[in-house]
Amino acid sequence: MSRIHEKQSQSIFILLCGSNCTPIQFSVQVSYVIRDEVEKYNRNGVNALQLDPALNRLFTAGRDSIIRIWSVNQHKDPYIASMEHHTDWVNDIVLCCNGKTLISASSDTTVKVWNAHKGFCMSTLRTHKDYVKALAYAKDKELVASAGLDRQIFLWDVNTLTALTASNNTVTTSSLSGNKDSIYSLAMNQMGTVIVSGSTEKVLRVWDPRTCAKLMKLKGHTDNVKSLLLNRDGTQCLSGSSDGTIRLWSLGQQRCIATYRVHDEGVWALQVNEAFTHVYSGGRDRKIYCTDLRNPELRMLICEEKAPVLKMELDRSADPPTALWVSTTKSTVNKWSLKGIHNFRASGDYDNDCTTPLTPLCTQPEQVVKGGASIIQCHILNDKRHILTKDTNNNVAYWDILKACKGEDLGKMEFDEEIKKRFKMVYVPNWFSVDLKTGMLTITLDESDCFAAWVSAKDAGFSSPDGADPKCDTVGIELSSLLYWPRTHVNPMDEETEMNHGTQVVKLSPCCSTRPCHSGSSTLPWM
Amino acid sequence: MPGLQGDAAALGSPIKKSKLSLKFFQKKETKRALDFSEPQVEEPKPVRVEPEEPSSCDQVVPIPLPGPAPCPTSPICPSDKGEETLVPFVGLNNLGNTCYLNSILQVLYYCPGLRDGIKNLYSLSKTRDKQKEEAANSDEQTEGPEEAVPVHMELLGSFHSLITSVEQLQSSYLHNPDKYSDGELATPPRKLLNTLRQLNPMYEGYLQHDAQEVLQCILGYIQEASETIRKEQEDQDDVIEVKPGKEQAQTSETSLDDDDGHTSGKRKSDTEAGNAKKKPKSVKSKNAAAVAANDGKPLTRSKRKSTEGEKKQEEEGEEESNVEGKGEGKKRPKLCWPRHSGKQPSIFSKFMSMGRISCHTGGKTETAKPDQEETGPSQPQENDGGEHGRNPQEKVTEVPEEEKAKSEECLGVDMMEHLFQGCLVLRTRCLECECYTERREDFQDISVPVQEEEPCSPDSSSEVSPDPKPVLKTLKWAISQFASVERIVGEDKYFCETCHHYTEAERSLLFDKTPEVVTIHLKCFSANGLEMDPYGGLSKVNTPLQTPLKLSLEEWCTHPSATATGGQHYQLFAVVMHSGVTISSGHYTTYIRMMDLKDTKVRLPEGDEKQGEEDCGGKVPGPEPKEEVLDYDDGEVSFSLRGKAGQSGSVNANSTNTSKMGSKKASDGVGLLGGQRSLSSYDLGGNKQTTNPDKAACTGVESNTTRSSRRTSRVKKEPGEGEEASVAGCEGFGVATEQALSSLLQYEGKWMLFDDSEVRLFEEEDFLRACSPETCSTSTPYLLFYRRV
Repeated sequence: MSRIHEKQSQSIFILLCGSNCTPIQFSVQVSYVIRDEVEKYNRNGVNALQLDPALNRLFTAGRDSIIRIWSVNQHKDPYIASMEHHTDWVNDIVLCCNGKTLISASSDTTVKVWNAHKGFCMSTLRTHKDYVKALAYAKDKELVASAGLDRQIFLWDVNTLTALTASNNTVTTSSLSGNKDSIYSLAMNQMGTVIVSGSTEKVLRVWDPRTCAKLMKLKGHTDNVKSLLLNRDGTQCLSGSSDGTIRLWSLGQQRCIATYRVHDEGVWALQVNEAFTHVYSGGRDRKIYCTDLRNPELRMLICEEKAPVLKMELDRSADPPTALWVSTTKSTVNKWSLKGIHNFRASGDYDNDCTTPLTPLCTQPEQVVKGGASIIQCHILNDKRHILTKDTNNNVAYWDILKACKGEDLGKMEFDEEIKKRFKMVYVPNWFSVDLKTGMLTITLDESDCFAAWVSAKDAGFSSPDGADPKCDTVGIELSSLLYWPRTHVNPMDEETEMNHGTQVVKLSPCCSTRPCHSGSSTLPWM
Repeated sequence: MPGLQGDAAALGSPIKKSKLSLKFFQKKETKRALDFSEPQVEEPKPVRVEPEEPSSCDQVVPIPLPGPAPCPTSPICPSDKGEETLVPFVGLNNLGNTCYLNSILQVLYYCPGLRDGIKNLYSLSKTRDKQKEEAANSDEQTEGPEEAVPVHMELLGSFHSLITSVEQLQSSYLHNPDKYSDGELATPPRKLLNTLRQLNPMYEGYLQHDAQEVLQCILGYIQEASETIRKEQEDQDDVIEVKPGKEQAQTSETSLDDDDGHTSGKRKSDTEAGNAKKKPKSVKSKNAAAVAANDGKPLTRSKRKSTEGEKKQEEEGEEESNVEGKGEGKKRPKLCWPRHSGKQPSIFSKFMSMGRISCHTGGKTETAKPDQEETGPSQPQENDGGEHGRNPQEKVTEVPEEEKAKSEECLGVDMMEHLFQGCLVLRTRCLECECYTERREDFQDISVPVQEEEPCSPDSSSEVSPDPKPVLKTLKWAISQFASVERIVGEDKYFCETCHHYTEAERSLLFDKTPEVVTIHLKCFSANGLEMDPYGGLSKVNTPLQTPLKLSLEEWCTHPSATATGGQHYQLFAVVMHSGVTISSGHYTTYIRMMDLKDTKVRLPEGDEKQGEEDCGGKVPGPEPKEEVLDYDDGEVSFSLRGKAGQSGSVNANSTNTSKMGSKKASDGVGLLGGQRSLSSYDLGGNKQTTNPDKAACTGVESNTTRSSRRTSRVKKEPGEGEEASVAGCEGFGVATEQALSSLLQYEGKWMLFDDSEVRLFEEEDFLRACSPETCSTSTPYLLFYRRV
């Protein structure tokens, strides 16, 4: 009964979500993640990075929905804390207010405001209607913009956001509309006078955030624009696109003034030095180049990652920058030294021939923030109770959904073989679904079918003290184990009603109460 | 339609004439003359008019009777000739609203490589049958289908016989144009129609049908037939090898059967060519055959039996029984239709739901297959080289037939695909990780919209002008609608296997493999409003689309220009026009660009002599007028009506010559053709290719004169292009052939309008005008056929 209790390593998140897909037809979904209580390692790719030079901290925004704080100085065990509130990929983060506040954008369609020092969530902005893909920050004005697949751009005043309280929770925002397609990238200059968005529309759209006026459209790319940078005064823009090119735009002339074909595939991440003279680029081809904007012949292969590059962050503690943090679709984050490049540059010995394969400047990262394994394959066994999973390290594990815990670690083995081996000739209707988007096992119960399966209490391994009710619906057991119900005598009917009102969860499981979950539907009292 | 030439009038239905009163015709004619835009529903009568003699030979050569005075309807006619001239191309009589069928048949007839493919296939099927039934006694043409043959095989047979009769008619006309002076050159596709009706009851009665459906239907059946044949072959190869003796016997029979007249001439040449080509293979097959021969017998018999049983069933029952009856290899008896429709939902369902794209995948698949055109592949591509292979008449006189056939079949497997079947790739790219997945599907034709559909307009890229009549749409636009990129966004995102997440994605439709012949179906019919009765409710969208003569699919191909076949450049060779307001009414006509006429075999009506001659000539086309549609060069052959007129004298001379040359032929011709008429002016003029119309006229005249002189001399060779050499060996026949051919060659590169039994010449500009959006009549292009250049 008290599986959860016994296994302290296993904690569960309960998220109650009014489905956002079918607003008209109200249906309730409960989803939870089976995971360790403390997930010290990134479990999936890392979508965004931010450095806090003052505290020497690195923030990583993971696809495992967790923002983690790392101490850059600690090479051995850099983990400091996790900021867990999002329920889906965190796509972008920006550090504001000199590192006091962190803003994050997620595929759960929310933007959250965090106290970066203490790592708690201060407020949640739900204005977006689709994945929020990009954030932009104007340091001088403490202005943040968020944009996403819903084609909307919202402007947020950070000071207002941080001042939000439970009672005073209204924010006014201005929106920049006009995009015809999903926005994948966004940039604002430091002075907050220009904002640029990149989308699948393949054009860059430029606004003035002060007036919300459209300034221009810049055409030239032939595919999605995934990365954007603006210089300080907003006169020049760099864009990286899935078409494999980097373009330099003059906003004054409203045209592209240079095109750099450095990568073999899409360019997903860009960084530029303060002077806006050297661009660092990474992308699907996993290579990271440094290119001289004024002389594109001068380019350097800095390193080659093991997976497509999602984001880069320059360590600007010195100028020229001394290191580059790189995140990829794998969970490990690497810091690559740029020191060599300066020597190289100083020597003036550039490799001018772009046709010959360049040898990377670094072969080994200077520092590694280790990542964990993410589950990449899963199979729901026929009894609809157990799941077999395989992770990126090829470790196979066996999970018991009813008990919401990992049953067995099977180690490295043939996944398909194991599936056959564990095949049972039974039919149980589907009553839950699994997804792996975060790299962890996320179980979703949908109101429509989660009561489909029943199991006898005995079989399930639960003996009810009063000896009653040999049959339970699986969800009852499920929830009871999740919620650490004092007794397992769940009456399905009650369950159902409670579910419908979306209130029952409140009765709390220790783990839930310790970690109130803000995402999901606001019908929960504690949200 | 307005562009009709004088000829048109002459074309009136000859066949009908016999039974119909003059009045009737005149009416009709007048009507046409007055209003072309109006859907001309052909009276069902004509159908009946034709006595049913399906058994003997469905293709009765119409007797050219003096038509009603043709009204020169063609002010537009470039030549300005009031006189109507018969064009040496054979029309198809309307059997009662069968213009939908006729138009398609004409296209297929002139479709590069298809004709030969059919012949090949047919001969193969015959061979098989015979093998099965040792003593197959039936005529191939007529009886073949009646035998135990599955219905789709029957269709093959009737199609084949249609082709044969058309060729026959054409050659006889070419040899003796006088006969047809006033009449029509047309044959009723009765047998085919009957078969079709048998196969698909939908086509019973005299309702108007959708040309595209018929096309798919026919191609589907042919496909089935070819598959059947292939299967049988495989079976045979595995289990049975026919004894050589048998083979021979069969072969001989076959040959007899086949040659209903024309065919015979071809044989030798074909055989030779075929042998030459296939020798290696044939040898193998021979050996194999020999080895297996003894063992094979019993098996054969068993097969035979079954076949017979099937036959019986068929004979007794209707289509269905037939279908089911065929055991063995001849499965898939059922209508191909259901299949097509079944398939469709696959890849394209999505697009279809969006109203943008529909692709009749199913049909394609079927069609595409194998055997039909055994010779095919080479044909479509090259005019000259392919010839030997081309008319591989199946009935080779010699034993090797079988072997040949086998080898051919093997070759043929790819052919069908080659000709009609392309492959589309549905590529879905995740916008997050930019990985893509592909799904492939075969297609047979491309259905493109003619109009922008209101709901989906915005996505393409921008501000589409809201005007109801925006800019003229081009075919390119239409295809890009078909192949455009679609984003999967919003609430129904794409689940990316790589990201393990729902992500946005782009889905694009590209051509992975393009067929030799691209069929573009313009979706002119839309179900408007609520009034959708099954047929009448489909109203026609008359918004015309600009039809280019050349088309490049490059931009929608997965690997541009890397394709094995070379470029993705296509040339328009046929257009099926629909005039009328709804799908259930109106009239179909076909414009076809004559190409590769030089490959045409002109056969003399008589078989025997021809054979001999042909041998001499080698592969050179015998006296039979078969036109191969393979075309290439656009060089236009000059054709001048005046020249013809002037030549009438010479023509007579010619006719005499012709008659002399092949007395036998002549007799044959007479038998087939019925009454002879003096040739109206008809220009046999040289084959010179002149781009210049003006020059053309002169040239035509000159050539004519030349020719006439030659004719008289008989011995001389035609100036005609490649054929002289071949001709050299031949005697008078050869000359006649040459002449006929040369007269045919005039039409190289010309557009002909096939309006049921009428065939008229169109200059390119007139054709373009007819198709162009500016001529906004109710007559609009419906099906476009492009062939690879």
